Amino acid sequence: MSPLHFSLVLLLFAYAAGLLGSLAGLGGGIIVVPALTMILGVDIKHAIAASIVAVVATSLTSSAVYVRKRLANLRVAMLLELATVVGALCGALAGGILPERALYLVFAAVLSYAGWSMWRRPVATPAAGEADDAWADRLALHDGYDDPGLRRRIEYRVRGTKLGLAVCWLAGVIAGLLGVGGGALNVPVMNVGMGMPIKVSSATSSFMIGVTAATGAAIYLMRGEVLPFLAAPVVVGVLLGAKSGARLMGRIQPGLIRGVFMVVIAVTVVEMLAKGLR
Amino acid sequence: MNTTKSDSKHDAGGGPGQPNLHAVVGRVLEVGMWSSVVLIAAGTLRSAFSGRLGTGAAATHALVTASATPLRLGRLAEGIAHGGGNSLAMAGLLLLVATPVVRVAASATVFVLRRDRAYVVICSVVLALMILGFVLGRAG
Repeated sequence: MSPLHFSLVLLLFAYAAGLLGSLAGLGGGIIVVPALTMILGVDIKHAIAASIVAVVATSLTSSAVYVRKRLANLRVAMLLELATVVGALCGALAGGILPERALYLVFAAVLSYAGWSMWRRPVATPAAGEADDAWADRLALHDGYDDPGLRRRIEYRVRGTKLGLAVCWLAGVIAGLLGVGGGALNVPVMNVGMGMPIKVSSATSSFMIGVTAATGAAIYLMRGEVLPFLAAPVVVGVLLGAKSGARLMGRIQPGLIRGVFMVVIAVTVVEMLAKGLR
Repeated sequence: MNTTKSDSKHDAGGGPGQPNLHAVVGRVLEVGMWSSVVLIAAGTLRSAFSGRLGTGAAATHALVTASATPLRLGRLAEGIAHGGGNSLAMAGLLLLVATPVVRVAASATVFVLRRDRAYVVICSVVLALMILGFVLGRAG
């Protein structure tokens, strides 16, 4: 493949990754990194670096739309970003120390759990008011949103703030380490653990991922590991894909979003296991 | 901007003259995103048409396996001044990564104006940690 050819192929892969990523509340990195390394033969380090910058782009484009639609809970996002940002710093710095194979296995295990717990408890709008959380009260995290599909306003109460912070730290570590957004952990913990509706969880995660990924990306970028030749088509493709995804998001039923999310998790787990066990 | 009666009480801003967090944040995200995309696309097209990318699989292989050289802002500015496509794309990537930093700073400002102390502290810590990322990356 000539360089121009290669760029166009990258652009296509990136578009598909961005579309799926924004629909599932993922950054798209979970699809971009395996596609770059396994299908296109790019060095994993460069793939991670290009991916994490693209993840920033995905988050920016989809969260701009979600913010306008008021789906994202900005206070929850700000609070959980404390944890994801610390995690992303740890992850990006630890990248050189831990063996990649071990990371793939841990990632596959965590993802399997996330997928399983979400599948077990499909909670479009979690039951309100059980188990009060003093942190959530004090930080005024409770909110509501206008559901475009159901055509009514849905109020929700946030709980499990400490659990959310802990899981989001881990999400940040994985984001910094593997060049992904961490949405695969953010979304289930907000939805199942913190009692937020699935659409709000996806939108809030998408919003947080920009800050998480930018922190990791800054390290990769300043180290010079982001190659413009790779990163430029990946960023543009992912952006366009995410833009399409965000347009669809408000009009799609929560069940369908969950379905897409489950498929993405299943495929990724298989890929990660294959990499880790080889 | 789409405003409805059902604005949430704490995120919508209190009333006339009160900063609307959603509006400020949304604006920052969009301006940063589109400016960086224009830079990245312009830089890539410039590289592509300068003929410096080469042709054939060997050229692709060389581009994909290029080794990392630490980013220095002085060198980047020089590259842009000389019309380098790569430098231009790199500046776009840098702007993209800096946009969430600006977004957090904008949010912090809104919370300062609203005298919401807990969130001023939260935003400031996040901001400091993000800047630390640039510093740590520069250090190697």
